[in-house]
Amino acid sequence: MERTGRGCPYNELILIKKTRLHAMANPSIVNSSTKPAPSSRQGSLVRLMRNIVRYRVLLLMLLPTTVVFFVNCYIPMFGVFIAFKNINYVDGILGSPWAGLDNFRFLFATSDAMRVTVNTVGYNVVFIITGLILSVAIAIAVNEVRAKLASKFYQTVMIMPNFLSMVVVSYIVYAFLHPEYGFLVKYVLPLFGHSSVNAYMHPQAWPYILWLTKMWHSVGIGSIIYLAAITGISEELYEAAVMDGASKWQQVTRITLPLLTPVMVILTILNLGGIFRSDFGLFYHVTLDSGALRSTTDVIDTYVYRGLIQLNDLGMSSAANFYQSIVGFFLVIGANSLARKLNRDTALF
Amino acid sequence: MKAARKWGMALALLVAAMPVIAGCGNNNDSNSKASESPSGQPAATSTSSGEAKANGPDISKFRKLKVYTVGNFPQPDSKAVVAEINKYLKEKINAEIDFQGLPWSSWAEKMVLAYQSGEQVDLTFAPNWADFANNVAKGAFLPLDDLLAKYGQGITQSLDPRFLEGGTVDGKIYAIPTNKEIGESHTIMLRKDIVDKYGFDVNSIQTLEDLEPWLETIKEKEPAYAPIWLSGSGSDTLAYFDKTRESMKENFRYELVAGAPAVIVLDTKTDKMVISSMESDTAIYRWKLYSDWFKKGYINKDAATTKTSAEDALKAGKTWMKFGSDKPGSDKEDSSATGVELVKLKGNEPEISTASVSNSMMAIGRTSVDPERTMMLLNLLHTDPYLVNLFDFGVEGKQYVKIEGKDNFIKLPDGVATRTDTGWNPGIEWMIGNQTLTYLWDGESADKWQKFKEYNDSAHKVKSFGFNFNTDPVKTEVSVISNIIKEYRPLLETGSLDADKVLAEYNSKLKANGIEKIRTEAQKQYDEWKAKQS
Amino acid sequence: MKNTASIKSYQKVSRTAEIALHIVFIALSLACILPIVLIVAISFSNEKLLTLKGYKFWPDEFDFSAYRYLFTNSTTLLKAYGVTMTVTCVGTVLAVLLIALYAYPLYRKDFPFKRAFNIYLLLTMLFSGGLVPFYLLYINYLHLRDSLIALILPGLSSAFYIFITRTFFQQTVPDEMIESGKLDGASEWRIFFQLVLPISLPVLATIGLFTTLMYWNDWFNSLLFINDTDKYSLQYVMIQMIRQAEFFKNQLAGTGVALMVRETVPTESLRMAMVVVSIGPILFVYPFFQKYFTKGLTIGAVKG
Repeated sequence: MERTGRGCPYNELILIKKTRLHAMANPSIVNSSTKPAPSSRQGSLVRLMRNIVRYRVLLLMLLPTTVVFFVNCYIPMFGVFIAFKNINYVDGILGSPWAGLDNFRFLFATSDAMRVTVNTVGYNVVFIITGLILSVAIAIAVNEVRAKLASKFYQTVMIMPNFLSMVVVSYIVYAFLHPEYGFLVKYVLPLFGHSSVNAYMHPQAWPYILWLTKMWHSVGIGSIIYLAAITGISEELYEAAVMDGASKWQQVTRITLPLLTPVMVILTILNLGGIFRSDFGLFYHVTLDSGALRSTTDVIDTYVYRGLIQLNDLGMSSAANFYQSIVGFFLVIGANSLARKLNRDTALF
Repeated sequence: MKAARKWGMALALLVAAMPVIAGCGNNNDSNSKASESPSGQPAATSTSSGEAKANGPDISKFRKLKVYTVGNFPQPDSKAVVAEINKYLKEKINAEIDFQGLPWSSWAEKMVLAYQSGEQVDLTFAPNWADFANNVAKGAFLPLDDLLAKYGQGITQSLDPRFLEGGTVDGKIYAIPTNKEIGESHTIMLRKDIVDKYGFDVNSIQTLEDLEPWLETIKEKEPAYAPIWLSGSGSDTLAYFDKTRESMKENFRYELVAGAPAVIVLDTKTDKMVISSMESDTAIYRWKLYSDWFKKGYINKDAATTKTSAEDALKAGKTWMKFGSDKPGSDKEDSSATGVELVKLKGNEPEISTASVSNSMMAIGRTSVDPERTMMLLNLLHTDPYLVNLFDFGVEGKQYVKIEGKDNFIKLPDGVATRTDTGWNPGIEWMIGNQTLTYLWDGESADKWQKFKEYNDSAHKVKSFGFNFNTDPVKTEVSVISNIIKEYRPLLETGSLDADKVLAEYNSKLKANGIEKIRTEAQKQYDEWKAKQS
Repeated sequence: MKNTASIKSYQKVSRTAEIALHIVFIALSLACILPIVLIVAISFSNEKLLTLKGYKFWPDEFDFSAYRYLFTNSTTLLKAYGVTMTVTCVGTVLAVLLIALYAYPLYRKDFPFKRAFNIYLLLTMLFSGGLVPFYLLYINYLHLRDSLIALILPGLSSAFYIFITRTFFQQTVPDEMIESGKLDGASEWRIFFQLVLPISLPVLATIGLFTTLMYWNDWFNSLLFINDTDKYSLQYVMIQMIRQAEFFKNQLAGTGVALMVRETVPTESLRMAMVVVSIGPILFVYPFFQKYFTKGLTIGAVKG
């Protein structure tokens, strides 16, 4: 799982940054607003007032967070116009002339558009699926370790990689792959009769390297949510299962997994919203920005970054962000309605 | 329940729409405010300067000027140094500065935001390599011609007029370059002990190819050293020593075009914009040579991706060479900086280009509270040795002491090992006003600035001097091409892969992604610019 | 007695499985901890030897110069620790409280405005205005330049965590509990604070952990809003050192300016020492939250 706790305004791409928000999308407005109102306007107004009074405490609970979101997200939201503007400093955001869809052109006007899109989506799909499986597996397994001290130790250690920023991770990967001194090159390759190999020149190796790095970095922390979910499962259920003679494996597949499903579904839907976004640091720093690796490591975020670092064009970076959000938006709608069909309770909304 | 839900929906929609409305309102506010203060201010000042008061500048109102610069910040002694600067400025021009010394790592972002948000920016470092043309086009800076004429006589008197071209866009001056070396030339520096050991004669090297036997010797006899160390995305590139047999046939025939993607160069013989990887024989020859050398093992294997610069590799003993500027005394400077005694090859003659005169400039922001006072400050930075040295080296007696008897020379106070330990070493000498006013450190040659003058006089002025490519009409193509350049150029510049293969791929990709469109636009702009020159 | 036996039996995996588990986890733990050891080793290495011989898990000779440098300039560092600690503690407490307060009504089946507030939340995930308007708001209208609030406030709006928390509530908090609470005449506040929160400790701890990490690792808000060096956060101090080299590569590559700037890019061992110093304390934050992952408090309720 990504650390997704950042506030909403962080999608902008003009800057180098390590963590990216998985902006998510949501469609609920579309669903029910078209239903005809069954009751008269007046009646519903009365009911509304009554409900407000009745649920005033719950509404009060919502208030502070609502205000925070209003300040952090809604007020700055007028900035979406930037994607359609040719910004200059004197006229400001609203005064600058409109640019139509010009700012979006650079995303598609390249022979690499296909490659970049396929890479982005491909990596994300693999990361989401394998990340989910591994996180859940680790959560279940670590929960089965009987020695509590050992279990605690494993958990503590396994989230450590997540504390390292991708720039630092890139040093570690480099330590393994350095063409002369890398641990792999020095100690492992000779076993197979290979001499020095510069991995940074061989694109075909990188899907594996990046996958391994990503899993190493994120699976430990990702499993924590599931671990918390597992502790929320009632013990009586397992006891009953044991009474009925269920094996350990059956307990996992019949009790633990079904009860983890809602959390898995929510996280997957939320992650789908970021399918056009990537962990920039992973694809930029860990690959050392090596030109020879582009065919397997170039993703939308790195493409946009490289294309705009000299131009520094606010409109174009907003356009890229908008494009990524919109795609995520439709994916989330789709995934959510699918989840709703399967089980109303597990869906996001 | 349903009704409530419906109302809830309406509420949600309203709430959701409000920020847009509110946002618009706010923004209109901010806009009108923003445009009021900046355009209001300058308007007022320009009228007042238009009136041309005969009794000199009015400095009765105290001003706090916000000065943005970049360097090795933060510095421990910032507060003390700035206090000293302010004491002096208060007396001189009834102003103080709010000194914003930003670290390299966040400067670019912070400036974009400061320009965009309409924050007060009085004096700001605005070199051509940090979006200068773009910022001018977007209206970040004030035109300075009038201000310069009124309050900047010290600048116009001391600065080589060719410099001012660097800050000029469409006939108006938007930034004042730092007074320092006007041309650029680079070279390769070598360990003196190794050069002596094998009896190499540095004067015998006329072109890059002449180096080859030396490299062979180093490779054979000094296996610990990489004969040539290149690093990263071309930040250490052999192109710094731009003398090959091919290029010396017609020295300076191809010129880089300021502001254009690096593949576009001007062929001065035909006055046509060409694409170097397809049409410039010298460039193609150069890349093939590198790739040949890489194969022969003269270049470090990890050149394309290493983060270790040649200088660091030299310090660590992994190579015997580094790149450096060829300006007077640079070998001495670098020897003392690296702690290794170095000799330098004779580089190409210095070249004055749009880039070389504008790589360090100061501009006045459109949001300046007082452009006149800011120009006075800038004028002082170009004329007042006390102030310049205060900015560059800190407070006398604390950060440095004068050497007795030698008026212009300074040294570190006793017991202080390096300049970093003094608490003020931002490394901004080349940015602040007039570098030729700075004191000399113990050990530098007394005629340093005299030599600089000679160096400046000997410089070759490029044909496209003053031309700046405006990327705006083709910004889509530029962003696409930038990506491709970043992919292939490091491979070519380090010779890491076979040049023929890389070039073929590179060129076909450039063609497929609109390089012609950029070339046509560059040609058009260049022709228009040239027509205006004569 | 019988009862405890059965509890044990459900927990039990076979001896071989147990050993296999340990082997797997020890391997995984090594994979996770060795890189950290490597970072520590680099921070104690001699810069010259690093360039010359590459990284080693055990330095050929120990060199403390990086740490000596860090500690001679420790005032900045100590201040940065102070800032980060304050921001992290205050931010985490506030964030967890705000998240739980918002997630709870969304969980309540009978709450009629559920959908509206869901949408309110979801829209924020959909459209972001981007950095510039956000920056304008914070600087020009809220006047938060150099204020610690600017480091805390942005982290308080995470729709992602609210949804997770809501899902957890749906999983673990039984509706009947709310109902019976109401029948007993407990106020909504009482139900929330005394019934819901105590049985939701695992998820609150999880969210707490994530927010702590988020605040601890944040440097971007410092970059945006903090000019006063006394208020730099720890990660910002670190990231500046790390990014410096990157900046030179990107902006100045091959321009000749690169040769002019006699920049002091911090040595690699110094950068790694800074990493060690900045992640040191947070490495041990997990056990603190982990202790709330207890089953005891959970009331068995299964739904779906």
